[in-house]
Amino acid sequence: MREEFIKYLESISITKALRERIETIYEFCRRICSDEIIDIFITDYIKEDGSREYENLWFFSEKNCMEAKQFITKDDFDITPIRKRVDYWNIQKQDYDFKKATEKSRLFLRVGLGTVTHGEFKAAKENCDCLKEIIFKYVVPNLKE
Amino acid sequence: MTNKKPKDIDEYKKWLKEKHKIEISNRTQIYYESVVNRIKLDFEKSDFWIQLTENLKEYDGEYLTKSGYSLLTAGFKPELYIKPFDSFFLKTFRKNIIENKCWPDEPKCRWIFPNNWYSRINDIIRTLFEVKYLDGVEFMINKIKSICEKSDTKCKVFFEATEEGYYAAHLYTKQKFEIPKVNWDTELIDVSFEIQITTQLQEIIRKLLHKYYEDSRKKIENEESIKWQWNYKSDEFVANYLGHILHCVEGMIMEIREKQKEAIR
Repeated sequence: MREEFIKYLESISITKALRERIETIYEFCRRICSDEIIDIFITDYIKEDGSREYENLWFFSEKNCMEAKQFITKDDFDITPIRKRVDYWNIQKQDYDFKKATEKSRLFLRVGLGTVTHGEFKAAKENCDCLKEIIFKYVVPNLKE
Repeated sequence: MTNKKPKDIDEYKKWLKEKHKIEISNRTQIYYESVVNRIKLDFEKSDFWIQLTENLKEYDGEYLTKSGYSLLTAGFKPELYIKPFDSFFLKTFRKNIIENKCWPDEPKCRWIFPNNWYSRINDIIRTLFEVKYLDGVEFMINKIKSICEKSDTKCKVFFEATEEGYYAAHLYTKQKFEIPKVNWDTELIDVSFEIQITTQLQEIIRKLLHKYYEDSRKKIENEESIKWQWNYKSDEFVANYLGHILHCVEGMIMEIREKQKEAIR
């Protein structure tokens, strides 16, 4: 797996066992994606007791995005082209200034890719900065003209 | 449209949108799956479930000592099943529309909508225990009830016996779970679990009948149609009566078993 992916996983406290699971999914996604996977993102939220829950795993290439829903327990994968397909997006945020995330920062993004397909992304704490990068790298430039 | 009783799922979706501004989309299903999956994972880690599954060997031994027969089939391991979204949504259609005697007003037990449906549908997570003999049903129910009592968890038991030949005990227990909201928040809700206990033979029949239950649940009853009890050519006639006959046979097996036990004494 790419060095920057490992760094990202460490930054959101992914355990070794989960990393192995992610590596397996990554290898599968590499095989189904026509171009090189260049970004990773994991949606997460914080429970009342402060523990972190991971939900869905995303991979991005220049042309496509892939989602492994409930990746910890399920093998349920989606792939869809992304280039110039974003026709709607909605952002909700809390304690986040789009500069530097804090412990309290929360970010939610909903993206519409045509009438049927959509993606939802949650991020907590430092993961908000990573989601911000995804927004500027894959959502904004791919707005439908 | 808004006051016309929806006849099928598509009309029900339209009614929800027009009358209650609730849109059921692919997104609803994805969110449902993520919530229910979370609940299932947490339930698997709950003391109740761990204790129940760990005690099974002990229960089997106790029943064997008392009766001379096994309680469960060899190697039985209960599994937790998630109600598929389509089946879940169909159930809300039945509760809100088909079985709603107050239509067009809300049913006595209130509307079941996305804001409350995880707490209101009592079998989003269920499990099934197959016992070998009829008296094993009550035996298992008592064991599960005692786990509930020890952990101060409320439970309700229903011994189901339907006109369509379905026989099983259903036990419902409620627990609190923290579920993810659509955005980053979470909320604490009460969720009911369904534990079905039936005999091995009834389960075979249930699998056969399942198709009929599912189909008939989607339809608004037509009063003029011939009752299945009179339609001897229908598949339901054979399948449903088979359920009743089997229940009777299982009762007879119990009687023979008890007589044999008395004779040995």
